[in-house]
Amino acid sequence: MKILISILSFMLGVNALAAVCIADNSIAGNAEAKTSFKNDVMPVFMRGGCNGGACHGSARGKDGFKLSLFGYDPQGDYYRLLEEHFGRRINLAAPEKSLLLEKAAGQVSHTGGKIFETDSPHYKTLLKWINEGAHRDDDGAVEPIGLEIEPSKVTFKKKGEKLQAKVMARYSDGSSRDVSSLALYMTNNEAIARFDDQATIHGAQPGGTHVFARFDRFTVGTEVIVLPDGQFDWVAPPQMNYIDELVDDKLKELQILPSEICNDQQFLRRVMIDLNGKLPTAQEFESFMADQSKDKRSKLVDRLLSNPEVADVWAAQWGEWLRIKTDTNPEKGTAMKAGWNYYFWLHEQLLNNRPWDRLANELLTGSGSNFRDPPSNFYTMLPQGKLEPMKLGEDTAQVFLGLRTQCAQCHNHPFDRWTIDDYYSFTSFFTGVRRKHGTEAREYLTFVDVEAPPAKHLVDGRPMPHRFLGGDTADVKNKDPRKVLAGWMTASDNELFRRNLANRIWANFFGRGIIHPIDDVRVSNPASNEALLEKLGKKLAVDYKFDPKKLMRDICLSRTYQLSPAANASNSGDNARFSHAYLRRMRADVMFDCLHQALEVQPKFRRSTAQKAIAMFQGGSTDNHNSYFFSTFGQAKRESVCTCETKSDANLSQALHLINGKTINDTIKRNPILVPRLMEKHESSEEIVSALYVQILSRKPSDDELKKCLELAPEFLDKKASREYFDSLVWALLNSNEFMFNH
Amino acid sequence: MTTKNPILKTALFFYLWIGLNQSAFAQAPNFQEHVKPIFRQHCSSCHNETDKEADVDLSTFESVLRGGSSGEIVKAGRPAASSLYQAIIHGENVEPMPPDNPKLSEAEIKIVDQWIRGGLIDGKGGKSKLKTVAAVQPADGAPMVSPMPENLKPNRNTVNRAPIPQAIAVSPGAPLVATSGHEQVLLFGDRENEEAEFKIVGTLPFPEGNIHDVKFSRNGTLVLAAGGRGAHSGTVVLYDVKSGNRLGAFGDEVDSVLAADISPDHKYIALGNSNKIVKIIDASTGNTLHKIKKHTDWITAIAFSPDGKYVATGDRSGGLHVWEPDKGLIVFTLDEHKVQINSLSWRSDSRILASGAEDGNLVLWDIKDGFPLQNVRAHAGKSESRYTRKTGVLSAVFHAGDILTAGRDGAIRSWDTNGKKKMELKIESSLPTGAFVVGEKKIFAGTFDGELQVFDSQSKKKIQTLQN
Repeated sequence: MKILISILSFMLGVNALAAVCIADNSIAGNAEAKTSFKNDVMPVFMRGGCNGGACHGSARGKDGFKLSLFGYDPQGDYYRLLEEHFGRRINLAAPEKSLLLEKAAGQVSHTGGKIFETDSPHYKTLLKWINEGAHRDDDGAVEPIGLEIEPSKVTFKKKGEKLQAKVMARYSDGSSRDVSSLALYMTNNEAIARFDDQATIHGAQPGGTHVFARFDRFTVGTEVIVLPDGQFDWVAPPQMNYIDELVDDKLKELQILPSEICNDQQFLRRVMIDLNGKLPTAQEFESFMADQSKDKRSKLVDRLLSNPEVADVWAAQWGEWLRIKTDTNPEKGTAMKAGWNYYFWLHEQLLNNRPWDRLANELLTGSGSNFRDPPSNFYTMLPQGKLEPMKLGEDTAQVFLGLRTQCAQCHNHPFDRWTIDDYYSFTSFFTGVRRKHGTEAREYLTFVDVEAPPAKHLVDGRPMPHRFLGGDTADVKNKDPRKVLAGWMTASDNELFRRNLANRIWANFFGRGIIHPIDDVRVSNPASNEALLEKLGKKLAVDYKFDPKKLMRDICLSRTYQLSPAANASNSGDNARFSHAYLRRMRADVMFDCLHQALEVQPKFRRSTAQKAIAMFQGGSTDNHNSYFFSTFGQAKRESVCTCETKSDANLSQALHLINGKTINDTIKRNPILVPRLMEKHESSEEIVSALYVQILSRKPSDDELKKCLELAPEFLDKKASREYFDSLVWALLNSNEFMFNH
Repeated sequence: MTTKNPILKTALFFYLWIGLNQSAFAQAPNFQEHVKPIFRQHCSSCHNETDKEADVDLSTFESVLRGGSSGEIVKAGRPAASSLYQAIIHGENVEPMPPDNPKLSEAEIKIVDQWIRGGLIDGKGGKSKLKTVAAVQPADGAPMVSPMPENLKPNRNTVNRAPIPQAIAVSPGAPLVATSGHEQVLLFGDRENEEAEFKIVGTLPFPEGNIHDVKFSRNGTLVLAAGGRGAHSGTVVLYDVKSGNRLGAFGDEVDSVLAADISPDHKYIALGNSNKIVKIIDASTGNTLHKIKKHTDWITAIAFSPDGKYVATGDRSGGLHVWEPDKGLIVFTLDEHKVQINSLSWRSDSRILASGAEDGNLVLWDIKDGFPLQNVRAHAGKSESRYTRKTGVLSAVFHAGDILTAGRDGAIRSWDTNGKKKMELKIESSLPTGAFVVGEKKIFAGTFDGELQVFDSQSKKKIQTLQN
């Protein structure tokens, strides 16, 4: 009994001391305070880089000693320090002779070199802990529950200014302490602002970026703006709607002036490619140019939004996100028949403008046959093989919430808030998903075992109750957990979901998301215009009830979308705040279609009934006829849900393919339609040159261009020479950057 | 059991088995009654007489023993070396079985484990494939008498806290215990009477640093201390017990020596550390005779056989080899532990080697052929957490034909060579770092808290606590 009392009083004493320690804002400075392994010692490992992936945090440790990566497993770290090899790493009899300290202070050979001096606070923290007996933390000891940084926003009037920031950790007992000397510091753009070890923010070049502090499992950011030199006068540009107001707020703050509004030719081509995936025809061009009405742009947008091609454009993108791709291996459950059904169901939903929350809900809760119940393909197409609850959780988070949780499978996310606990609690929603073969081998039936146990924690194997990412524990008793999840996910107040969808829509029109990449939402990758993304998400979910076309209409009618690509002196450096139109290389499928549309040739596809590349139900992967084009122009291979698979860079092999490859040359030579038709129709070289410019570049040639073209043109009556000349001109126009890019 | 209902019978069986653990078995589980139903339920659709996936047929006892296209799938007494067992527990380097179906239940896995450990018994009353080795014969003549220190003045170094006795050794013929102190060997005992309370009787300075291994020579005249300064230097020092004189230092390593031993004839010193090499050093010249490079991880345990013919060495990844020290050649590679080997000990007749490892297993090896005689779950905790489950054998020592083990579960147990538990006691609120029998009935244990606790092996009562 006596022993029990003494143990109890000891434990109480420890807790009281720990509380004092934190209230005093002291890490190890207070001689009375007892050093905590998790709150004092482990942050030193993090700060020193000891538990990083290249050092002892690697899966196999380093030089025989392992720490958990970024400290996800305090118990394991304690075990390896004290108990794995008694007396080797920690010497309780003579603390300063502990290998841990001798290595860190560079007193003995250490691959990582000297980490800190013996008179540094970090060394002293470790020494004090060992001197006290290197105790492990008691159960229920205080732990950090949040992190804050002050200030949350910095504006430097000129470059070279600096500011001392303060990082505060909040603890489970309500206390908080300054952890500025223990946090790690990062910046998203070293050229604009630096964040040094001592928590000082340094402004460098003009611009805006974010800097971050990381402590324990938390990352917090501060927005840094460095203003350009010289006088800035804001000239209020026209504002069409709420989008422009929010964009302008940000531009004004950064002292950037937006570009002028683009001309009608530019607008027509841009919006046709973005909404319908095709070029304007000569007729459309002429009638739009002739239209003198003030609202002709909005009439055009409404017309294009009502075209069925909108569904093609979005079905192609959803097809990539959902990995619609078929295979002849019956074990995978991804037969052509299933993929075809899935695509056409999806296309139909988009054609009918089904609200995207309901679309997501139906996918997530898909059950039944992959032949007869198309949404159930969600559970065969995403895995493309073995069904792994963890993978389903990851893919669901990435597609519908824009989150990459993969890191947290093995360790707490180093640059975001997701922990191993979050990961496995989210995985639990999918542990009950089961599949079996239907009446034929290719058919898969998806169903749910509501009794299935939740996922087990990686570190200690404890069952992890179903919990929403960043949300509460879910009540899934006797329910299909996926339905509970879908209910939470698609709720109009779920910011992750609505912001992700709004951002995906936005990216279609600007070539980048407000958060970019669109499926890499994390604390350390903030929105380039937070207020704008917030508003778009809210509009989509609350005002428009997830009707995507309404948001697309707002975007297309905003001044921001209609800006000229020509930059001015203040916005030439901007590539994220939407102060001018960005050049965007067309997607592979859209470009392929535009190219054939311009040449008036119906392309041939293998293994597809589609008439256009954008309408091929599994992308161009099985079309070996044109596969070189698709892969060169970066079409997604659908090997993962990552939007990074769709590449929009421009490179040499693309240029070479257009110059020498068969796509353009063969089409011009073997299917001479366009030039003969124009030569039949028109009376002069001038008219034909002009018609070709409209046909291919959707604009009239400039006087200078026309003059130069005509200088080279042969006598119009010399049909043979003229044919050859116009073919060359077609080739040249198709090979121009102006054709390849949407601008 | 007279019931004819097989379900009830199984249920009863599980009840007894879970309730009473293995003690409910008069004998280990057998194939026909216990294992075959499990295989039939989970494996027979692929591994049957006609289908034989990977050439494995699990339908009969004979076909299971025959194995598959990659050889034997079960090895008597060695679940960790049995690929079938590894497959059902989803171990490393094997295809997890059954594929695409849930893992077997814990209870079923345990039956297969017990069946392999029990020696692959065919049917009820069948014969175990494990052999038995005759009990040790008492040595002829009078018991060994080893010297006690004379005129040694204990001189303890100043410490922040009592050092962990990470290494302990007991004199083979005197009431004397040597432990690792802070940069010194501490000698505890009683000059007059082994029944009396122990006190510190001497200290042997080891200024080279931290001590990781302490051994008495076979006749108890010498003490060996091995250690050094981590990532800096390592050495082995020999002392004369009687005078306390330092006789010599061996090895000039770049990291602490973690394990060492001296051969019974005092001819060889074997040492090893983090460089994964075992060195056999000529004790008279200090020259390195052999460098043994077979280990793939830190050397953690070394023990010469009492007849001097062999030296056994174990490493941090479970590698265990038996060598001829004079030739430096392998005799046996004893493949069963997959994790760190903490302790190696020989029976006095050099016929059996005991190995204790972090997997919680105590394995007794027949040194005639290198096959296991017993594989006992000696110290295995229950918690699911990797580091709180308290699994691991920290020390295993032969004494009078039985083995005394200390484990991470805080228990000290003794076992006979048939794997039967004979005694158990618990260390309160700390980890034992090692346990030894001193004299007739004293059990001497070191603890993580820096204590040396002495127990009466009959009453299991703690009779003394010393500071290390």
